[in-house]
Amino acid sequence: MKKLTCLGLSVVMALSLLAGCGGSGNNTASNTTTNTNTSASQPASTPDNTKLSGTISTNGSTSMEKVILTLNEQFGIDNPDVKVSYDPTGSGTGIEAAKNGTADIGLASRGLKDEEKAAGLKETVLALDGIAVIVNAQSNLEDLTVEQIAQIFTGEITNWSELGGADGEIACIGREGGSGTRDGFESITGTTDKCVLAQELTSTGAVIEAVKNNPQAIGYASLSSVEGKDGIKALTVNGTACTEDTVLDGTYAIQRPFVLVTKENEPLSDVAQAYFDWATSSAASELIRSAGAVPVA
Amino acid sequence: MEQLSLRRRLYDRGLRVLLYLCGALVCALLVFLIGYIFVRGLPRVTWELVSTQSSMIRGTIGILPHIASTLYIILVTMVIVLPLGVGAAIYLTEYASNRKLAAIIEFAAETLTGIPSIIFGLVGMMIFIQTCGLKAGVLAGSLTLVVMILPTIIRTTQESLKTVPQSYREGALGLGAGKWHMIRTVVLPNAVDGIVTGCILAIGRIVGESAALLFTAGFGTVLYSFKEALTNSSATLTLALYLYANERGETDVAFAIAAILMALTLVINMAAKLAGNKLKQK
Repeated sequence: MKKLTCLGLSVVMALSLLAGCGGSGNNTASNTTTNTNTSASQPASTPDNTKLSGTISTNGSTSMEKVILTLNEQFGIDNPDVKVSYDPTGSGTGIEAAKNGTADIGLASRGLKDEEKAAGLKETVLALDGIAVIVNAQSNLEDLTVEQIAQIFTGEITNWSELGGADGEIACIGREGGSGTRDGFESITGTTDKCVLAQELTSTGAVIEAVKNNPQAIGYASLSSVEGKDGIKALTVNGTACTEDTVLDGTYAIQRPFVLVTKENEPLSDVAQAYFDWATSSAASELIRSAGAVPVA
Repeated sequence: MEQLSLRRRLYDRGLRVLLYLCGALVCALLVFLIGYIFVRGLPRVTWELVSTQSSMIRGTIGILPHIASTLYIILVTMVIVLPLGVGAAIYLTEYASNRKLAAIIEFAAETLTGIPSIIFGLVGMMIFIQTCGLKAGVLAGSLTLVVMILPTIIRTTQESLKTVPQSYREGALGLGAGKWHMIRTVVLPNAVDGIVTGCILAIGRIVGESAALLFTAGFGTVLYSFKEALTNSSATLTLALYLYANERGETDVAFAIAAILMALTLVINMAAKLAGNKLKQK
């Protein structure tokens, strides 16, 4: 009994000892990580300038997920000591994160508003993206005009039969307030704040999933995310299909930019700047195209 | 029994059947839930899934980074919360001479356990990320969880400290032991089973937590070393489940993660039971 209590006691003591060490160890660990992060911005300290190392954080638009993850991965392959993270939170959060410095680069699938620029933020267009209008694959509808889309989303047209489809009440699926896709869609179709939605979802994937599961649904989502997805189909708008070519030459009406958001006056860390330069150069064009968006560089 | 009127017997039977039904329904629900998750999830649990990180270029999905960050978060949280929680509990039960103050602290701890975890997440984001300037990651997530779990650890430790008979303490003190010596050699060893069980259950809560980490741990899908993960966005398994189900529409992967989480929770609960029994026996 005594021995066992001793044993139990020593385990507890050892644990609490370890715990104490660990606690302070963590703090120093976090300090050193931040130190390495900041020291990474002084390449003079490292003799080999071409070898980048460190971490970069990107945060924002869920529409940009495919593009950004592809870029991040390739950059990680090219520079094995660099890790680029991406948080799919939405354009609004991404811009906020760039502003208060919780992310190196903010991602927005819309241009910055004037007040955001006034707050010291800078936008760099990475690519263009079409907003595909999607319906369930079972729908027999093929084409809508921008006016018809606006009428559907504002509730003027409520039944598919009014558009030549099978009888059924239209369920409009939209995005949440901070979404860049919503901003782009509503400003182009002229339905800002006038949409009557059956569902308001918080991510690109969720919209696609909802349209896939509801034969009466209509929604909108980034072209890059829609390509190759089963169970849904993208409608032609004003007779033009949503493809990379039609987005680039401007014939597809509903499109918006993918934007990298950085601070105007604060330089990026060296490694983040290298990433930024690479992503906006023509070297990344092929990757952006492979992810379904339309590169501008 | 035969004197009972027909009406009363019927009433009795009826009630009994109803209660059986209730029991059966609960069991059926549980079996259905566990079965459904395992049947849908387990076939998707492959070696590739658990041993790689997701690749957009190759189009593969792997959850190794999420398994790693779950472990990191458990480690960091427990390392901080254990000494704090056990220390506070020892103070409250053994040292606090102001009963009123102790009662207030206990009441506060009890209230804290009932707060929805998303509120901890929100406050954690405000304090650790926006005010302290930490980046979303394991450290910010763990600190938030520490705040969330601290009351649980304090409560369970206090409960097990209270089960140690007062006479043990008096005996030790009567033999001339100092107060700390008495706690260290008599009280703690006798309460250790409760403390360990509480810790394991707390780990279970960490594994299952998602709301508190939503704003604080981030959604990163990159595999980091422990040091990097502290300040870089890293999604735990629960967040990864949310990510794949909601953002990517990959329901199969979400179910695979769900199956892993279920298995993990099962193991943790069994470990808690086992450890409690083992430590109590001696």
